[in-house]
Amino acid sequence: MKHVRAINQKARLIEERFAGAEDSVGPLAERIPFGCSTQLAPGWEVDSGGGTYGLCTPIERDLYDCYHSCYWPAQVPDALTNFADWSRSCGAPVQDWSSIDLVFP
Amino acid sequence: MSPVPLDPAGDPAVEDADPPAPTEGRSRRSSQGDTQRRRRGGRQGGRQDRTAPATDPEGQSADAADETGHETAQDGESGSARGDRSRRGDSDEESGARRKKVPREGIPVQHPLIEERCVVCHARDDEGKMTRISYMRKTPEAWEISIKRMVRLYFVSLSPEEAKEVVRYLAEEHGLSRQEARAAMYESERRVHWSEEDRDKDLRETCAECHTLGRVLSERRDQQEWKLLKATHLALYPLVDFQSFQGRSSRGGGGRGTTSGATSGNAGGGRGTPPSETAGTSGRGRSQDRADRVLATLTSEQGLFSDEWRDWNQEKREVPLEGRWIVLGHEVGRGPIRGTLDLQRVASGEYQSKWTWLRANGRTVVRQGTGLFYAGHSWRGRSTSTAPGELESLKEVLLLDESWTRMEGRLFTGEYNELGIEVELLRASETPTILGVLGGEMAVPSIGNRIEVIGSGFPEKIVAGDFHLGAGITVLGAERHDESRVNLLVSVDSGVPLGRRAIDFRIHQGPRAITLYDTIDGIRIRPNPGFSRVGGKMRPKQLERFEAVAFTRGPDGVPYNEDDVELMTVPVKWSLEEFPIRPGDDDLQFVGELDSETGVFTPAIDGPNPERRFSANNIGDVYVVATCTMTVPERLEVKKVPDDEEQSGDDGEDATGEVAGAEESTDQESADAANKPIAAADSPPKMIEREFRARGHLLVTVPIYVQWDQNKWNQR
Repeated sequence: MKHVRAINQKARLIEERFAGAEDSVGPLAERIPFGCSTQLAPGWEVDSGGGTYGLCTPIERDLYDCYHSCYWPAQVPDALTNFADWSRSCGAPVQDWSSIDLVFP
Repeated sequence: MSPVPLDPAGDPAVEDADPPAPTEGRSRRSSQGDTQRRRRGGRQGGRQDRTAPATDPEGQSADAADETGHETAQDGESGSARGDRSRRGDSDEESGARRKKVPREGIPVQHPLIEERCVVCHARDDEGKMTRISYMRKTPEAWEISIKRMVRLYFVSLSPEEAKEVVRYLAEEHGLSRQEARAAMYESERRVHWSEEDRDKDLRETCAECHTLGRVLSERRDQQEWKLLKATHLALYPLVDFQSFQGRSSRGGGGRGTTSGATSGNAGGGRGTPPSETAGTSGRGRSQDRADRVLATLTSEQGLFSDEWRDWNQEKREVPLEGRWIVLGHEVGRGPIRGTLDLQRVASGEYQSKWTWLRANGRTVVRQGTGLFYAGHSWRGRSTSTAPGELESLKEVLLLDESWTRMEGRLFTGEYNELGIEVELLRASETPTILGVLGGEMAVPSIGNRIEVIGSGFPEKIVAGDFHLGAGITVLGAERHDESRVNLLVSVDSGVPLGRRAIDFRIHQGPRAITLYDTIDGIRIRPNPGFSRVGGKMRPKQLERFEAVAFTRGPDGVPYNEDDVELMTVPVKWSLEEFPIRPGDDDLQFVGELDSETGVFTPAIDGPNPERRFSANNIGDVYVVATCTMTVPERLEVKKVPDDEEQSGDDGEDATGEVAGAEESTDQESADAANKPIAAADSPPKMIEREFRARGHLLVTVPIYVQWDQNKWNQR
């Protein structure tokens, strides 16, 4: 971790939480930062373990990544084909999440 | 909330869409390889039609491959794939075989509106077959999705009434057969709780990453169309190639199987693999991927034509539904309903409906509605009620059986269609027929059991002896309520074998709707796991309703396994507990509230919660706990008398084959009295008071930002 520096509040929280912890394998779940995890291959609603722990949360933080990359085209409007203007009504979903639109294909 | 309407007029036929997810594909990686694949996918799936102004990648691919209304002997390959092969210089013999034209069988389109509006992209041949359209069959819901996509992306101009007419024609003439529709019912019924675990693993991993397999089961296509479906996915959502279609083995350098290689060309793009691995299967430098293997299976299992569909197509007629239907249903958390459905035909395949229900609490509810009947087997309707406490608007999805006398399906509503009523219907007739029984669970021995028989055609003069429930079960009295309901007073002798019994009326055999049990071994929660979505801002919440059902251990004598026999629902007290996944788990504080009396869970609001760590959403996992106290018979058991020393050892079985101390093998708390000793088998059972407790899993998760189902597709 000596080459990695926390640059925002969340990262600092993670750093504080694991301050002093030795590099060891477990508990794995505590080590995984919130957000999409390729290791767990989370689904939109349920993670690979059948629960919600491995999901992106808050989902608003990652929402526009899904939107622009068509990651969950069935659950999130996709920018590529169907809803190019979806993000116009909400520039920063984490702060202004209540103005996020529901779309009706 | 500002919807993005496809049709400002609010097309009732077109607005409804696939709830779980009609789109496919996800991937988070962006690389040069992905870009290349996207280009390939776009080229293959989206070759420009010379005449069509629209840019439907499906239609264009089809047109390219089917300009003459025929296909090659390598049925189903897209034009670009064929071009790739010829550039590779295949042998003259192979090329000759491929050039040989064989007629492509399809379903002619004979509807002036479709011919007029769709011919711009979907060429029509001399036989009336139109590209793409003539080579697939779908459920009404699946056709709606297609029409909506045409309106959304390719500027098809259809008024609401026209769109509805198009969907109805296609669902009739290009619809599924009854058996095919039955397999896809859970999709049409918009069920929240279903399982696809027994489906093929490749199919699940290829398609169900993003949407239910019900979407796949809702369609039948010929080989070329299945391949073009993949091309469509790649064109509209190119990253699906990496995320789902390739599969791990393909990503690792070549497909793992060759069983379908002879029939499956490479319809997708893909990263390069050594020529030795791709020879004979691909013209793009990659062997067939997982999607190709799945498509080969779908081609054989869900082809365009089936015998049942051909038979129906030849014998087609308007199936009459008019008249009275007897209804028996169950709503989770609210108990049974019984009543009638009266259908009045107003036009071909169109009906006005009137539901009259009797709830478990004695309240009578009347609902009025309309409905359409598709393809001789599928009912799609909607009814409304203004009665307090009733679900105001219910969609209706029913399937008529082969005998045209029974229907079954689901009535549902809710933001995510989560509130539903399971129903069975029996066509009323003068022939006595038993549809089902309420209160058919009886202890052995017991007296004074009151059960209600639901059916049709019960004559005015009925005596107790008309009903037969099997040896040891005596019908002491019969009271006819009307032609569809009869109340029985029943006693059960001691010593009667436990298990299911049929209930018959005179010469008419009835269902196995009677269950005999000795005592209640525990309670269970349904549904388990429960499923809910936070909401309230971006879109409404997805509620969940629970109920508790008592059960008795099955023939194996061991409770808490698949052998158990579920009995009746029982009133319980509801609460939530933490489902600990991680240290300091705090989901219980945030996910929402469970009504202790009704078992209705209301999730918390959506959006980041600053009070949670990392401003997490109010999602999480919790236990749903049900507790109750019931007075139940004490189990009468005869201890095994050991025949010899060996048998009296530690084999743990008694004379009835029951496992002693069975509750120790479970983690359920209510198993403590599963094998209580010991009384004489013929003595009356002692009633004891027992506490029961059960836990279920509840997932509270994130909302969906696309509302595929606008719940208006059958309104007139």
